[in-house]
Amino acid sequence: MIITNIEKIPGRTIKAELGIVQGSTVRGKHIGKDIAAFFKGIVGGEIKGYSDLLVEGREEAIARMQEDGKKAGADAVVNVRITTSSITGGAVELMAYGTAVKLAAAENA
Amino acid sequence: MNIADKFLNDYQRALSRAPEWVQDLLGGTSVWDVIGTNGLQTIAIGVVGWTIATLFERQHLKQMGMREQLLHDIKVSTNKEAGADAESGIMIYGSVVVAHDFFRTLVIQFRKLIGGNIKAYERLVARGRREAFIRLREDARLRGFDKIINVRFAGSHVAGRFISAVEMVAYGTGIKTRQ
Repeated sequence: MIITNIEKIPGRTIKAELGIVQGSTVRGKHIGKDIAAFFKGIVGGEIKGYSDLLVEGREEAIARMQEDGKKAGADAVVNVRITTSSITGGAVELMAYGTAVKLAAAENA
Repeated sequence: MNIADKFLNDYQRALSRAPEWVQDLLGGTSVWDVIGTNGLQTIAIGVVGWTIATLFERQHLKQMGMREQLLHDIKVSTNKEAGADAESGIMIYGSVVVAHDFFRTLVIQFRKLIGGNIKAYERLVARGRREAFIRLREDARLRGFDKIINVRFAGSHVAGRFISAVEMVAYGTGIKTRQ
């Protein structure tokens, strides 16, 4: 499945729009990572544990969005937006949403 | 027994289980002694943290400058036009979570009382965004894209259990141009 954050897909033609699809996830890190983050917080800088957490979470959200799209029978999702929000200490919600579309058969493939 | 004595009692009982050097470091005979030594240690840790953080920041800025030089040939734009010669494109992103050292967090708390520009925060956010943008372009390079269009920046506050940090994301559509 192709995902872009523009209205079209370069090199392909969109046949039909299938509506909004979305995927979201709420993730937390185990307490050990939080404690490591606390110590990292003494000197500041990048908090690797949380960076990884958010990357994993975002991948998961996008994967769920793709699943949602597959259920709707889509070939691609366009105009995707991603958001992050902090739910409570140690947990974040990541969300990805976009428009599911059906593509015309590839001309040059 | 008043509250101060009770506190001291509890504190000393808790400390008696700790190794001897910890007792030397944090112990005290009166409440003010305990608060005084702990306060001094807190400030000492803070100052050391601040120094290291400043060094890290300087190093990070230098390192980012070098990485940016390698990425100068990747075209970036906020336009949505892929161009007629675009072959394929998918969404890519780069993200980073950055936090302040704990002493500066404390200073910022006081700075917020006055309001206005909070320089330390501006620097942190700018640094995070730059790092996220570099990661976006590095990802594009890795996947063989020569152009990124419709780039968007987003940021959010990430609250850990003990610290709070900011997350910066940059995302866009990587475009491979037909040769």
